[in-house]
Amino acid sequence: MTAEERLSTVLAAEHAAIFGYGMVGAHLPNALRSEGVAAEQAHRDRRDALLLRLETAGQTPPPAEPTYELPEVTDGASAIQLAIELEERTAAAWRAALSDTVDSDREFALDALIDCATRASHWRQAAGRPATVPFPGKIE
Amino acid sequence: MVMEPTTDWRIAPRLTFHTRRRTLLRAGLGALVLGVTACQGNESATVQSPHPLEPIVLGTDMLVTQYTAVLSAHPDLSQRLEPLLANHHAHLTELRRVAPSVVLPSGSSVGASIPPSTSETLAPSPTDAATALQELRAAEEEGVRAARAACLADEGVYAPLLGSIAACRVTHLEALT
Repeated sequence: MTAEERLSTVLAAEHAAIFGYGMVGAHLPNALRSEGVAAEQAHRDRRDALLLRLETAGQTPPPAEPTYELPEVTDGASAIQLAIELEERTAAAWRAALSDTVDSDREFALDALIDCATRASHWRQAAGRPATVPFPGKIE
Repeated sequence: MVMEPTTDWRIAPRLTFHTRRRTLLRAGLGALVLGVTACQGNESATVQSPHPLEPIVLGTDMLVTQYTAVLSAHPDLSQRLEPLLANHHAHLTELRRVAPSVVLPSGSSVGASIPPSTSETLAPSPTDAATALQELRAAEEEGVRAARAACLADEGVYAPLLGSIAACRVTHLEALT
């Protein structure tokens, strides 16, 4: 897979995460709202960077879907659970990008993986679960 | 609580760990000497270049050894440190699976998950818990730098594994804060 093809799949994951955080933010407890806003913004920033990267390379970036199938979110606990899943899924997308990219693309992918892993760790802690996992982004 | 990462590990000052570096240096020199000796003994033998993951394998082994020593001296830290040690164990297991040719130094952490307190193989542990945690944090920072650099330099095969290890170590830094 070329770097552009891989980054397109990562962009699709970032689109989904942004959509998902809309649902998360609506149900987070007040004490966690700012974290939700910051996380959504991080995904928006990476989406924008990916759009620019792909368009500069002459590619047509995949657009966001009109809607995404999400697990039911009814309260703070289910919102936090969805946030964990969103970060883990985007972490997996960025981890996969590491083998198909070089130089600045790989550095961007690594920073993104680390950011997703860190946010997932925070959300797990908020859920009262063990905060760390040995291989962030690895699909077991 | 704000979910911005609290540790900017990219710009953190480079720390020096003479003991660990000397150990790494000795391991590297040892491998070099063995290679040269092999050549002298058999002219047809070729010097094999070290496995690209060797520095990460050895560094991970030292992290396991350091955590094990701290836990041995400060069992009251077990709830906080054992999950992190388990992650390092998982890293070492996976690294040794993909890089079986890397030889761990004598005194390796392997097989010493719960060490005897008199073990000579373990690094001396600081006497107070706060200092021990501070040193673990410094070791993790060094570990992040190493895994990050290895990931960026890798030809691609090991980059996902190294990226995951780097990311995991960043989450450890927060757990140790």
